[in-house]
Amino acid sequence: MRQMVWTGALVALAACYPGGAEQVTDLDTVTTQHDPGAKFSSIRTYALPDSIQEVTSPHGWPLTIDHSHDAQILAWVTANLDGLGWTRVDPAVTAPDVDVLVSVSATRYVEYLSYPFYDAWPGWAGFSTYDGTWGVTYPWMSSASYATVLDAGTLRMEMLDARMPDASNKTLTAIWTASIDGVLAGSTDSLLQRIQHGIDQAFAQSSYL
Amino acid sequence: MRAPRIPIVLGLLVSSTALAQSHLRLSYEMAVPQGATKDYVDRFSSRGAHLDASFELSYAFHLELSAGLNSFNSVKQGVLTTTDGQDVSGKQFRYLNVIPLMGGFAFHIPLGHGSRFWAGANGGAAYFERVVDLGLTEYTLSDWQWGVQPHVGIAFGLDRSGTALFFDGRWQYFWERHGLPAQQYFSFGVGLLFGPGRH
Repeated sequence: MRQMVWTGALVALAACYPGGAEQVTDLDTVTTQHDPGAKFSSIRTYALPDSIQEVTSPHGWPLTIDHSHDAQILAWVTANLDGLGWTRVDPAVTAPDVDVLVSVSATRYVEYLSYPFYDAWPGWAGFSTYDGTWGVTYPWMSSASYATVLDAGTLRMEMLDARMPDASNKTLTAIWTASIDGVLAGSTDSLLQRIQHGIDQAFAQSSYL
Repeated sequence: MRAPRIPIVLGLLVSSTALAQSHLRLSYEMAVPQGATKDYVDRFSSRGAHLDASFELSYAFHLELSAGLNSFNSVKQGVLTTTDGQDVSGKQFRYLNVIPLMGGFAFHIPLGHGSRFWAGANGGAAYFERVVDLGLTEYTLSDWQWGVQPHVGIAFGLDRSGTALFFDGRWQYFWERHGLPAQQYFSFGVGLLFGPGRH
Protein backbone atom coordinates (compact mmCIF):
# COMPACT_ATOMS: atom_id res chain seq x y z
CA MET A 1 0.00 0.00 0.00
CA ARG A 2 2.68 2.50 1.04
CA GLN A 3 4.78 1.73 -2.02
CA MET A 4 1.76 2.46 -4.21
CA VAL A 5 1.24 5.75 -2.43
CA TRP A 6 4.81 6.89 -2.96
CA THR A 7 4.76 5.79 -6.60
CA GLY A 8 1.48 7.63 -7.18
CA ALA A 9 2.78 10.78 -5.56
CA LEU A 10 5.94 10.76 -7.65
CA VAL A 11 4.01 10.16 -10.87
CA ALA A 12 1.60 12.97 -10.01
CA LEU A 13 4.43 15.39 -9.39
CA ALA A 14 6.48 14.38 -12.39
CA ALA A 15 3.59 14.36 -14.83
CA CYS A 16 2.93 17.23 -17.19
CA TYR A 17 5.49 19.76 -16.08
CA PRO A 18 4.24 22.80 -17.97
CA GLY A 19 5.97 23.34 -21.25
CA GLY A 20 7.34 26.61 -22.46
CA ALA A 21 7.51 27.98 -25.96
CA GLU A 22 5.88 25.87 -28.64
CA GLN A 23 6.33 28.15 -31.62
CA VAL A 24 9.21 30.30 -32.79
CA THR A 25 7.14 33.44 -32.25
CA ASP A 26 6.74 32.51 -28.59
CA LEU A 27 10.41 33.47 -28.18
CA ASP A 28 10.08 36.91 -29.78
CA THR A 29 10.76 39.78 -27.40
CA VAL A 30 10.91 43.54 -27.63
CA THR A 31 13.11 45.28 -25.08
CA THR A 32 13.10 49.05 -24.65
CA GLN A 33 15.11 51.27 -22.36
CA HIS A 34 15.13 55.03 -22.02
CA ASP A 35 16.80 57.84 -20.17
CA PRO A 36 14.27 58.99 -17.55
CA GLY A 37 15.87 62.42 -17.59
CA ALA A 38 15.45 62.96 -21.34
CA LYS A 39 12.98 65.59 -22.55
CA PHE A 40 11.01 63.59 -25.09
CA SER A 41 8.14 66.06 -25.14
CA SER A 42 10.26 68.74 -26.79
CA ILE A 43 11.40 66.54 -29.69
CA ARG A 44 10.00 67.78 -32.99
CA THR A 45 12.39 66.53 -35.67
CA TYR A 46 14.43 63.44 -36.36
CA ALA A 47 16.94 62.23 -38.90
CA LEU A 48 17.11 58.63 -40.09
CA PRO A 49 19.74 57.11 -42.38
CA ASP A 50 18.45 55.31 -45.46
CA SER A 51 20.27 52.11 -44.64
CA ILE A 52 20.31 49.47 -41.95
CA GLN A 53 23.80 48.71 -40.80
CA GLU A 54 25.10 45.37 -39.62
CA VAL A 55 26.58 44.92 -36.18
CA THR A 56 28.58 41.82 -35.42
CA SER A 57 28.07 40.14 -32.11
CA PRO A 58 31.29 39.40 -30.20
CA HIS A 59 29.92 35.92 -29.53
CA GLY A 60 28.96 33.27 -32.03
CA TRP A 61 29.30 33.28 -35.80
CA PRO A 62 27.81 36.11 -37.89
CA LEU A 63 25.20 35.04 -40.44
CA THR A 64 24.66 36.55 -43.88
CA ILE A 65 21.92 39.15 -43.79
CA ASP A 66 19.49 39.81 -46.62
CA HIS A 67 19.15 43.59 -47.07
CA SER A 68 16.53 43.49 -49.81
CA HIS A 69 13.80 44.48 -47.35
CA ASP A 70 15.64 47.32 -45.61
CA ALA A 71 13.52 50.03 -47.25
CA GLN A 72 10.35 48.34 -46.06
CA ILE A 73 11.66 48.03 -42.51
CA LEU A 74 12.79 51.66 -42.46
CA ALA A 75 9.35 52.68 -43.72
CA TRP A 76 7.78 50.98 -40.70
CA VAL A 77 10.16 52.82 -38.38
CA THR A 78 9.41 56.10 -40.13
CA ALA A 79 5.65 55.53 -39.87
CA ASN A 80 5.95 55.09 -36.11
CA LEU A 81 8.15 58.16 -35.68
CA ASP A 82 5.80 60.23 -37.82
CA GLY A 83 2.96 58.88 -35.71
CA LEU A 84 4.51 60.63 -32.72
CA GLY A 85 4.01 63.92 -34.52
CA TRP A 86 7.68 64.26 -35.33
CA THR A 87 9.02 65.39 -38.70
CA ARG A 88 11.81 63.69 -40.57
CA VAL A 89 14.45 66.14 -41.74
CA ASP A 90 17.49 65.96 -43.95
CA PRO A 91 20.43 66.47 -41.57
CA ALA A 92 22.42 68.07 -44.40
CA VAL A 93 19.85 70.85 -44.43
CA THR A 94 18.31 70.99 -40.94
CA ALA A 95 19.78 69.98 -37.61
CA PRO A 96 17.45 67.34 -36.11
CA ASP A 97 16.53 67.03 -32.44
CA VAL A 98 17.38 63.33 -32.48
CA ASP A 99 19.15 60.86 -34.73
CA VAL A 100 17.48 57.50 -35.09
CA LEU A 101 19.74 54.64 -36.12
CA VAL A 102 18.61 51.17 -37.15
CA SER A 103 21.02 48.26 -37.05
CA VAL A 104 20.75 44.53 -37.32
CA SER A 105 22.71 41.49 -36.30
CA ALA A 106 22.23 37.82 -37.06
CA THR A 107 24.30 35.30 -35.20
CA ARG A 108 24.66 31.57 -34.94
CA TYR A 109 25.30 30.49 -31.40
CA VAL A 110 26.84 27.08 -30.88
CA GLU A 111 27.14 25.63 -27.44
CA TYR A 112 29.22 22.59 -26.78
CA LEU A 113 28.08 20.30 -24.04
CA SER A 114 29.47 17.16 -22.60
CA TYR A 115 26.79 14.58 -22.04
CA PRO A 116 26.79 11.37 -20.03
CA PHE A 117 26.29 8.84 -22.79
CA TYR A 118 26.31 5.93 -20.37
CA ASP A 119 23.46 7.37 -18.28
CA ALA A 120 21.46 8.34 -21.37
CA TRP A 121 20.81 4.69 -22.23
CA PRO A 122 20.71 3.02 -18.84
CA GLY A 123 20.93 -0.72 -18.91
CA TRP A 124 21.62 -1.01 -22.64
CA ALA A 125 23.53 -4.20 -23.38
CA GLY A 126 25.86 -2.39 -25.77
CA PHE A 127 27.37 -0.54 -22.81
CA SER A 128 27.55 -3.56 -20.54
CA THR A 129 31.33 -3.57 -20.50
CA TYR A 130 31.52 0.15 -19.62
CA ASP A 131 30.33 2.22 -16.72
CA GLY A 132 29.55 5.86 -15.94
CA THR A 133 33.22 6.76 -15.57
CA TRP A 134 33.79 6.31 -19.33
CA GLY A 135 33.61 9.22 -21.72
CA VAL A 136 33.54 9.78 -25.47
CA THR A 137 36.28 11.48 -27.42
CA TYR A 138 35.72 13.24 -30.77
CA PRO A 139 39.00 13.14 -32.75
CA TRP A 140 38.02 16.14 -34.88
CA MET A 141 37.45 18.36 -31.87
CA SER A 142 39.59 19.42 -28.98
CA SER A 143 37.15 18.24 -26.34
CA ALA A 144 34.45 15.66 -25.91
CA SER A 145 31.31 17.55 -26.76
CA TYR A 146 27.81 17.70 -28.11
CA ALA A 147 26.75 20.78 -30.00
CA THR A 148 23.48 22.72 -29.87
CA VAL A 149 22.89 25.43 -32.45
CA LEU A 150 20.67 28.48 -32.34
CA ASP A 151 20.30 31.21 -34.97
CA ALA A 152 19.12 34.45 -33.43
CA GLY A 153 18.60 37.90 -34.82
CA THR A 154 18.20 41.39 -33.46
CA LEU A 155 16.88 44.56 -35.03
CA ARG A 156 17.93 47.51 -32.92
CA MET A 157 16.70 51.09 -32.97
CA GLU A 158 18.61 53.79 -31.16
CA MET A 159 17.67 57.39 -30.57
CA LEU A 160 20.58 59.76 -30.00
CA ASP A 161 19.93 63.19 -28.56
CA ALA A 162 21.40 65.64 -31.09
CA ARG A 163 20.29 68.70 -29.12
CA MET A 164 23.02 68.54 -26.51
CA PRO A 165 26.11 66.74 -27.78
CA ASP A 166 28.89 66.56 -25.21
CA ALA A 167 31.65 68.11 -27.28
CA SER A 168 34.26 67.94 -24.55
CA ASN A 169 33.90 64.18 -24.23
CA LYS A 170 32.81 63.71 -27.85
CA THR A 171 29.74 61.83 -26.73
CA LEU A 172 26.16 61.65 -27.93
CA THR A 173 23.62 60.45 -25.40
CA ALA A 174 21.33 57.58 -26.31
CA ILE A 175 17.95 58.44 -24.83
CA TRP A 176 16.01 55.45 -26.14
CA THR A 177 16.86 52.02 -27.46
CA ALA A 178 14.65 49.23 -28.69
CA SER A 179 15.80 45.72 -29.36
CA ILE A 180 13.62 43.31 -31.31
CA ASP A 181 14.95 39.84 -30.68
CA GLY A 182 13.95 36.49 -32.03
CA VAL A 183 14.99 33.13 -33.33
CA LEU A 184 15.71 33.15 -37.06
CA ALA A 185 13.34 30.57 -38.45
CA GLY A 186 10.44 30.58 -40.87
CA SER A 187 9.71 32.15 -44.23
CA THR A 188 10.74 35.66 -45.27
CA ASP A 189 7.13 36.84 -45.04
CA SER A 190 6.89 35.45 -41.53
CA LEU A 191 10.14 37.14 -40.49
CA LEU A 192 9.01 40.47 -41.93
CA GLN A 193 5.68 40.18 -40.14
CA ARG A 194 7.47 39.54 -36.84
CA ILE A 195 9.81 42.50 -37.46
CA GLN A 196 6.91 44.82 -38.22
CA HIS A 197 5.06 43.68 -35.12
CA GLY A 198 8.22 44.18 -33.07
CA ILE A 199 8.75 47.73 -34.35
CA ASP A 200 5.14 48.66 -33.63
CA GLN A 201 5.36 47.06 -30.19
CA ALA A 202 8.56 48.97 -29.36
CA PHE A 203 6.76 52.26 -29.85
CA ALA A 204 3.55 51.03 -28.23
CA GLN A 205 5.33 50.13 -25.00
CA SER A 206 7.23 53.46 -24.96
CA SER A 207 4.38 55.75 -24.04
CA TYR A 208 6.80 58.45 -22.87
CA LEU A 209 7.91 59.17 -26.44
CA MET B 1 -34.81 9.27 23.61
CA ARG B 2 -32.14 11.34 25.33
CA ALA B 3 -30.50 8.62 27.46
CA PRO B 4 -29.23 6.32 24.72
CA ARG B 5 -27.25 9.13 23.12
CA ILE B 6 -24.79 9.44 26.02
CA PRO B 7 -23.54 5.84 25.87
CA ILE B 8 -23.26 6.12 22.11
CA VAL B 9 -21.12 9.23 22.33
CA LEU B 10 -19.03 7.79 25.16
CA GLY B 11 -18.61 4.57 23.25
CA LEU B 12 -17.38 6.42 20.21
CA LEU B 13 -14.88 8.40 22.25
CA VAL B 14 -13.55 5.42 24.18
CA SER B 15 -13.27 3.18 21.17
CA SER B 16 -11.45 5.78 19.18
CA THR B 17 -9.12 7.05 21.89
CA ALA B 18 -6.37 4.83 20.60
CA LEU B 19 -6.88 6.16 17.09
CA ALA B 20 -6.42 9.82 17.83
CA GLN B 21 -2.69 9.50 18.03
CA SER B 22 0.39 10.66 16.24
CA HIS B 23 0.39 10.03 12.55
CA LEU B 24 1.71 11.09 9.15
CA ARG B 25 -0.33 12.47 6.32
CA LEU B 26 0.82 12.52 2.72
CA SER B 27 -1.33 14.25 0.16
CA TYR B 28 -1.55 15.23 -3.47
CA GLU B 29 -2.63 18.84 -3.58
CA MET B 30 -4.32 21.25 -5.96
CA ALA B 31 -4.41 24.98 -5.42
CA VAL B 32 -6.36 28.04 -6.48
CA PRO B 33 -4.43 31.34 -6.44
CA GLN B 34 -5.96 34.44 -4.88
CA GLY B 35 -5.05 38.12 -4.65
CA ALA B 36 -1.59 39.11 -5.83
CA THR B 37 -0.74 35.48 -6.43
CA LYS B 38 -3.60 35.33 -8.93
CA ASP B 39 -2.34 38.52 -10.57
CA TYR B 40 0.95 36.77 -11.23
CA VAL B 41 -0.31 33.26 -12.08
CA ASP B 42 -4.02 33.05 -12.72
CA ARG B 43 -4.27 29.35 -13.42
CA PHE B 44 -5.45 26.59 -11.12
CA SER B 45 -2.51 24.48 -9.97
CA SER B 46 -2.74 20.73 -10.26
CA ARG B 47 0.76 20.09 -9.02
CA GLY B 48 1.41 19.99 -5.36
CA ALA B 49 2.01 17.77 -2.40
CA HIS B 50 2.08 18.02 1.36
CA LEU B 51 3.62 16.00 4.12
CA ASP B 52 2.24 16.58 7.60
CA ALA B 53 3.42 15.03 10.83
CA SER B 54 0.91 15.18 13.66
CA PHE B 55 1.96 14.52 17.26
CA GLU B 56 -0.66 14.07 19.93
CA LEU B 57 0.24 16.27 22.91
CA SER B 58 -2.90 15.52 24.88
CA TYR B 59 -6.19 13.96 23.99
CA ALA B 60 -7.34 15.43 20.65
CA PHE B 61 -4.74 18.21 20.80
CA HIS B 62 -1.95 17.83 18.30
CA LEU B 63 1.29 19.53 17.35
CA GLU B 64 1.51 19.75 13.57
CA LEU B 65 4.62 20.01 11.41
CA SER B 66 4.00 20.60 7.75
CA ALA B 67 6.06 20.80 4.57
CA GLY B 68 4.73 21.15 1.08
CA LEU B 69 5.20 22.17 -2.49
CA ASN B 70 2.76 24.01 -4.71
CA SER B 71 3.68 24.77 -8.30
CA PHE B 72 1.74 27.26 -10.38
CA ASN B 73 2.23 28.32 -13.95
CA SER B 74 0.54 30.49 -16.51
CA VAL B 75 1.21 32.21 -19.81
CA LYS B 76 0.71 35.93 -20.26
CA GLN B 77 1.40 38.38 -23.03
CA GLY B 78 2.60 41.68 -21.66
CA VAL B 79 5.41 43.95 -20.66
CA LEU B 80 7.80 42.98 -17.89
CA THR B 81 9.74 45.78 -16.23
CA THR B 82 13.00 44.45 -14.90
CA THR B 83 14.88 45.69 -11.86
CA ASP B 84 17.44 47.38 -14.12
CA GLY B 85 14.79 49.44 -15.92
CA GLN B 86 14.21 47.40 -19.05
CA ASP B 87 10.71 47.03 -20.45
CA VAL B 88 10.55 43.62 -22.08
CA SER B 89 7.45 42.52 -23.96
CA GLY B 90 6.62 39.10 -25.32
CA LYS B 91 5.02 35.89 -24.27
CA GLN B 92 5.75 35.36 -20.61
CA PHE B 93 5.87 31.81 -19.32
CA ARG B 94 5.38 32.36 -15.63
CA TYR B 95 6.12 29.86 -12.90
CA LEU B 96 5.64 30.08 -9.16
CA ASN B 97 6.99 27.40 -6.88
CA VAL B 98 6.07 27.65 -3.23
CA ILE B 99 7.62 25.58 -0.48
CA PRO B 100 5.73 26.22 2.77
CA LEU B 101 7.36 25.03 5.98
CA MET B 102 4.96 25.36 8.89
CA GLY B 103 4.26 24.35 12.44
CA GLY B 104 1.16 24.72 14.57
CA PHE B 105 -1.61 23.06 16.49
CA ALA B 106 -4.81 21.26 15.60
CA PHE B 107 -7.73 19.60 17.31
CA HIS B 108 -8.46 16.08 16.09
CA ILE B 109 -11.92 14.73 16.75
CA PRO B 110 -12.12 10.95 16.51
CA LEU B 111 -15.09 9.67 14.57
CA GLY B 112 -14.54 5.98 15.13
CA HIS B 113 -13.24 3.16 12.93
CA GLY B 114 -10.07 5.05 12.13
CA SER B 115 -11.90 8.12 10.94
CA ARG B 116 -11.35 11.62 12.26
CA PHE B 117 -12.00 15.29 11.65
CA TRP B 118 -9.48 17.99 12.40
CA ALA B 119 -9.06 21.74 12.30
CA GLY B 120 -6.05 23.83 13.16
CA ALA B 121 -3.71 26.59 12.20
CA ASN B 122 -0.04 26.59 11.29
CA GLY B 123 2.43 29.42 11.14
CA GLY B 124 5.81 29.66 9.50
CA ALA B 125 7.33 30.72 6.24
CA ALA B 126 7.40 29.74 2.62
CA TYR B 127 10.04 30.05 -0.02
CA PHE B 128 8.58 31.67 -3.12
CA GLU B 129 10.44 31.20 -6.37
CA ARG B 130 9.08 33.33 -9.19
CA VAL B 131 10.39 32.57 -12.65
CA VAL B 132 9.50 34.27 -15.92
CA ASP B 133 10.78 32.79 -19.17
CA LEU B 134 10.67 35.52 -21.76
CA GLY B 135 12.30 34.95 -25.10
CA LEU B 136 15.67 33.36 -24.49
CA THR B 137 16.04 34.91 -21.06
CA GLU B 138 14.93 33.72 -17.67
CA TYR B 139 14.09 36.25 -14.96
CA THR B 140 13.84 35.08 -11.36
CA LEU B 141 12.87 36.65 -8.08
CA SER B 142 12.85 34.55 -4.95
CA ASP B 143 12.48 35.12 -1.25
CA TRP B 144 11.03 33.80 1.98
CA GLN B 145 7.72 35.21 3.19
CA TRP B 146 6.12 34.72 6.60
CA GLY B 147 2.64 33.31 6.68
CA VAL B 148 -0.20 31.38 8.25
CA GLN B 149 -2.03 28.30 7.17
CA PRO B 150 -5.42 27.49 8.73
CA HIS B 151 -6.53 24.03 7.72
CA VAL B 152 -9.32 21.49 8.11
CA GLY B 153 -9.54 17.86 7.13
CA ILE B 154 -11.50 14.68 7.42
CA ALA B 155 -10.16 11.14 7.26
CA PHE B 156 -11.97 7.87 6.68
CA GLY B 157 -10.40 4.72 8.07
CA LEU B 158 -9.63 2.14 5.41
CA ASP B 159 -8.56 -0.87 7.44
CA ARG B 160 -7.16 -1.90 10.81
CA SER B 161 -3.60 -0.98 9.80
CA GLY B 162 -4.22 2.63 10.73
CA THR B 163 -4.34 3.85 7.16
CA ALA B 164 -7.08 6.32 6.28
CA LEU B 165 -8.10 8.22 3.19
CA PHE B 166 -8.33 11.92 3.88
CA PHE B 167 -9.36 15.18 2.30
CA ASP B 168 -8.15 18.52 3.54
CA GLY B 169 -8.25 22.18 2.70
CA ARG B 170 -5.88 25.01 3.57
CA TRP B 171 -5.86 28.73 3.15
CA GLN B 172 -2.28 29.84 2.77
CA TYR B 173 -1.54 33.49 3.37
CA PHE B 174 1.90 35.09 3.37
CA TRP B 175 2.65 38.66 4.30
CA GLU B 176 4.37 41.22 2.12
CA ARG B 177 8.11 41.17 2.53
CA HIS B 178 11.02 43.01 0.88
CA GLY B 179 8.63 44.71 -1.50
CA LEU B 180 7.08 41.47 -2.67
CA PRO B 181 3.29 41.61 -2.31
CA ALA B 182 1.28 39.43 0.05
CA GLN B 183 0.61 36.00 -1.42
CA GLN B 184 -2.38 33.78 -0.87
CA TYR B 185 -4.04 30.67 -2.26
CA PHE B 186 -6.42 27.93 -1.30
CA SER B 187 -5.20 24.38 -1.55
CA PHE B 188 -7.15 21.14 -1.48
CA GLY B 189 -5.56 17.80 -0.82
CA VAL B 190 -6.42 14.17 -1.03
CA GLY B 191 -4.12 11.62 0.49
CA LEU B 192 -3.43 8.88 2.93
CA LEU B 193 -3.02 9.08 6.68
CA PHE B 194 -0.68 6.60 8.28
CA GLY B 195 -1.37 6.07 11.96
CA PRO B 196 -1.07 3.34 14.57
CA GLY B 197 -3.10 0.28 13.72
CA ARG B 198 -6.14 -0.90 15.65
CA HIS B 199 -5.87 -4.07 17.71
